[in-house]
Order: sequence, then C-alpha cells, then structure tokens
Amino acid sequence: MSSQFDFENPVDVAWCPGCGNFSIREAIKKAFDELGLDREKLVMVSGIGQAAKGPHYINVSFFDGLHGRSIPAATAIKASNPELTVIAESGDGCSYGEGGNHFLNAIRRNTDITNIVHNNMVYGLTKGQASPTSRRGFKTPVQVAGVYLEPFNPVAVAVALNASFVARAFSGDVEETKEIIKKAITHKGYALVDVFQPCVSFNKINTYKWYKDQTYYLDDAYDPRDRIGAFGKAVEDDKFPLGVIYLNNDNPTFEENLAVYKRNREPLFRRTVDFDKLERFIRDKRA
Amino acid sequence: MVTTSGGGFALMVEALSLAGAHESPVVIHLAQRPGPATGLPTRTEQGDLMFALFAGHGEFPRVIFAPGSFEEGFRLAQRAFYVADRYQVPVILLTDQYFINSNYNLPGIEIERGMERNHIVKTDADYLRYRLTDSGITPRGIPGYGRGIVCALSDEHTEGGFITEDFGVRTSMVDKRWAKMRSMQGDILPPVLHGPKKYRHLLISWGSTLNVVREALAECGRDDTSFLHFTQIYPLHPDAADIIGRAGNRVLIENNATAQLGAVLKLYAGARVESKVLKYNGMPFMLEEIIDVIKKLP
Repeated sequence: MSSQFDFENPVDVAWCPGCGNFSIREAIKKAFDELGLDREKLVMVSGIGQAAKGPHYINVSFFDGLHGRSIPAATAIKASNPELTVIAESGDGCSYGEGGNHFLNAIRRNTDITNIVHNNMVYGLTKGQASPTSRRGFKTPVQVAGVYLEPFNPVAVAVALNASFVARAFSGDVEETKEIIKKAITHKGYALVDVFQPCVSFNKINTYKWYKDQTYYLDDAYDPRDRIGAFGKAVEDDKFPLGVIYLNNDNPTFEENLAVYKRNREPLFRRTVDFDKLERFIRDKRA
Repeated sequence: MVTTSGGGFALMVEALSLAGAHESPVVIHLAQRPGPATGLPTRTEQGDLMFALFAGHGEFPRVIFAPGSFEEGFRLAQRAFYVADRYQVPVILLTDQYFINSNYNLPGIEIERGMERNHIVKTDADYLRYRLTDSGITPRGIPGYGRGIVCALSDEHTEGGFITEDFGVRTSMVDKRWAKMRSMQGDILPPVLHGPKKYRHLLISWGSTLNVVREALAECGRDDTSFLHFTQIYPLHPDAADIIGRAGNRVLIENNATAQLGAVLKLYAGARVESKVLKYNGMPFMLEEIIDVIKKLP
C-alpha cells in the first residue's frame, strides 16, 4: 500500500535485512495514514542509533540531534507549537541509557508527545554491547561473563511515575503495533510505546521466536486504569504483556500549564514583539 | 535562550556543537564564576573566555559578546538574538558574577527598533533546510509553516538534511557554515576607545571591567593614556589590530590568571601586549588598584 509518507525515490537504508526496524517503520507509517495526519503538521525527533535513523526513512520533517536527547528537543518543539503532532523515536540505549533522566522528566512533565522506543535489548549500531534492557546473563564482546545488572524496566518505571499512557508492542505484529501507536498518538499527554524487536545481527538470544514465545496480548477484560493492576502487569517477566498497560487522563499536559498559552493559543512563531507594550512593561517595572 | 554558569555550560556543551551542525539560532548567557569545578561559586572571575570560544567538538561559527555596563547588557542581549536569528549561529553573552550581582540606577532605556527578529520563512514543497547559498545563510523554515519538509540532522547532511558521507558535500557544507562568518563582517562591533585619540599607553580590557577602568582613567586625567574596551570578543573587529598597534605600551587588565583576551588578541589580531594586570582571587578590581596601575605608568 502506498503512503504519503513514502519517498518518491528509494532511499538507501542502513538497517540489516530482517531488522525489526523495518516493521516498526511500517507500523508507524500505517498509523500516520490511518489517522489521516497532516504531513505538514507532523515532526519526528530522534537521537542516535539505528532506531534513531527511523525518521530519515519516512517522508516527514525531523529533528535528529544527540544521543539520548530526543525528548528535550521533542518537548521544545511541542511547547513552541502545540498544533504539531510530535513523535520521539529512538532505541532502548538512547532512550533509557543516556536519555534516562529525560525519560523520567518527560513522564513528569506530561508533554503531549508520543515516545516510540525500539527495544532490542542490545546496542546494535555499535555492534552488540549490553543495553539498559539487556537480560541477565546476556554475553557480549564487552560483557564477556554475561550481564549481571538488573535490566531496566521502562514500563514499571512509567507506571511508578503515574505516566499518562504506557504500552508495549512487538515489531513482529505490524497490525497490533500500528493500533497501539494510533492509540498513543491520539492520547493527550505523554505516551510511551516500548516496542520489542529482534536485532538479527547482534542479539542471538532475544530472537523473533523468543519474543513470540515470551509475550502475550492483554485481553479486553484488562482495565488499564487500575494502577496497582498495571504495576503487576509491568513487573511480569516470565511472559511480557503486550498492549496498553496503563492509562491516566487526570494530569494536564505541559503545554496546558505554560503561561504563554493561557490567553493566546497561537504558536510562538506567529507572534511578533510589541515594542510599545515592552517599553510600557519596562517603565512599569521601574516605577 | 539559556542562562547558565560555567558548570552548567560545561554540561550543555554538546548542544552548542549541535546548534553548530543544525545551524540553530541559540543565545547563551554565561555568567562566569571562578573555577575549576565548583571553585568559588559566589565570587567572580573572567575565566571562561577561552572555554566559550572553543567549547564544543568540531569547527563551527559562533559569536561572543561581553557587556561592560547594564546599558550594554540590555543592548547586546537584544543584538545577540538578532545575530543568532539572522546568521543561524550560537551567540554567547559573557558576563560574570560581579556584573550580574551589581546594582545601579539607569536613565530610561529606549528599545532599539529595526532589529527585526523574525527570520522564519514559509516553506514551499521543494524546501531544502541546508540549500547552499553564497552568504552561507539558508532561509530558515520550520515544521508547520508552509508545505515543505524540514529536516535538521546532526550528522553531516545534504542540502535536504539527509545523512551523507560524500566528501564533496562535506566540504561544501563546512564552507557554507564558515561563509556565515564572512557574511557577518558588517555586523561586528568595534572595540570602544576611551580617552585621548593619541596615546602612548593603552589600557585594554573586556566585559565587566569597563566601569572601574573608565573611572580610574578619568580620576588620573593623564593625556598620554587611553583605554580600549571590547564588547565583541569574537569575531574580532578588523580595526582592533590597528588601534592596539598605535600604542607604545599596552597594558592588559583582566579578572583572570592567564590573560585570555590577550591570547585572543594575539591569535586573531596579531597584537601583543607589554604588561598584564591580572586578578584572580575571586574579587573584582577595586578602583584604587587600577588608579595605582595608571599612576605607575612611565
């Protein structure tokens, strides 16, 4: 199916054949198309890594900056123009390692952005070192005796911080992943979508089959508004639940809290400096 | 805009380099305090000039201002935004703890008009964020304004903002970024000479030492001594070399241990100084100290 987010000419993609990134890109583009998003009002933001190249391969505006720092840029873009749909997309190393503090504060700020994290439990761009989500015992050329750190659990952390939307998907299921991404984008407030994906070159443990065997979808009876129940789901690791794990619509968004939009909804670039008003303001302060 | 001090600036330096690559306008107010590390966090120093000048990996243009008075602080802050927006470069406003913790009364300040701030353009469908131009400046589009796709990338990029390792494109993008330094030649502020137009001795300083040196000079009333004050440190005004060269004896006055403006003048104006008055105990210069310097000039 063709998409308005395809390029006219084929682009040179740096990913390995069989990489989970391809199906995540497919799910994202389908979600954009089915939501009928206006391409001119859409911005993708990424950090550094193979996942962070995602926006290069989708025909949209993007801001690709520093390792771990997709969230600050995404927050600033949304805050300077709340009319934009802003998607931050990066990998588990970028988002939970270097970007760990930004991740925590993005949840607390509750900026209305969608944060898609490709989670393959390995640093793929740099050829296979342990990432924050690598499982215990995972051997790499650096972690020669196997990983002995507790794996970072982004879903549990997000629920602990009372995040507004927390979901987990699996790249092997494009349709289901697309539906979860659509819910995340339409959700008002910060939305985390942690997407399990195999790294076919540098993670021979957490393979396509491993994810298939180690996950299951939450059924319709599951209530994502129950925080205690959600935390229970978040810490399950014999089999990982997929779907929307936690929902909390109680908190206002970061943009709604900004004084600059209290009386005027115009994005900042449409505003000009009123010099007379500024001079009056300075005079009043001096009086 | 970000306002910070040495330790905070050190943490954010990778974003300065990013602004260089993205060609993002950004204004950084860096209020210097004595380092290294936490140093004397409630005291003053002009110790971060070289840090501001060379901070960030890679080579990219930047502008550094250092106001000497509150009036200059007000005007240079306005100018910093104008220069950052117009040339799409990071601009650093260097002050120090002494400057920002001082108080005095000002006459009314009229805001300078005509420095239009809005350099953002509405994009067409074929917009290229890094289109090559003679001036090095590409009209700046943003997402959500026009039909164009705006791609900002920290990797070396094509005109459209896509990743590349093409050596020719790399060279042309480096040249494009540096072309902006040539384009801003007409916007560089010259150093300001206080005192007689003809001088044997020339006192030289920058930033917050303006008022103390000016007052000491007036107090001493010597007709053979002038004072040259820099508010734009980088890029340096081309007249700097000549003004400094006309003096027989040059005395640098800096609130640091290593005469950092002296190094900048040597590097970019080929100027040398005969003597240096340096203070780095955490306190600003006292009037009496500068008067003493001027009185002892031969």
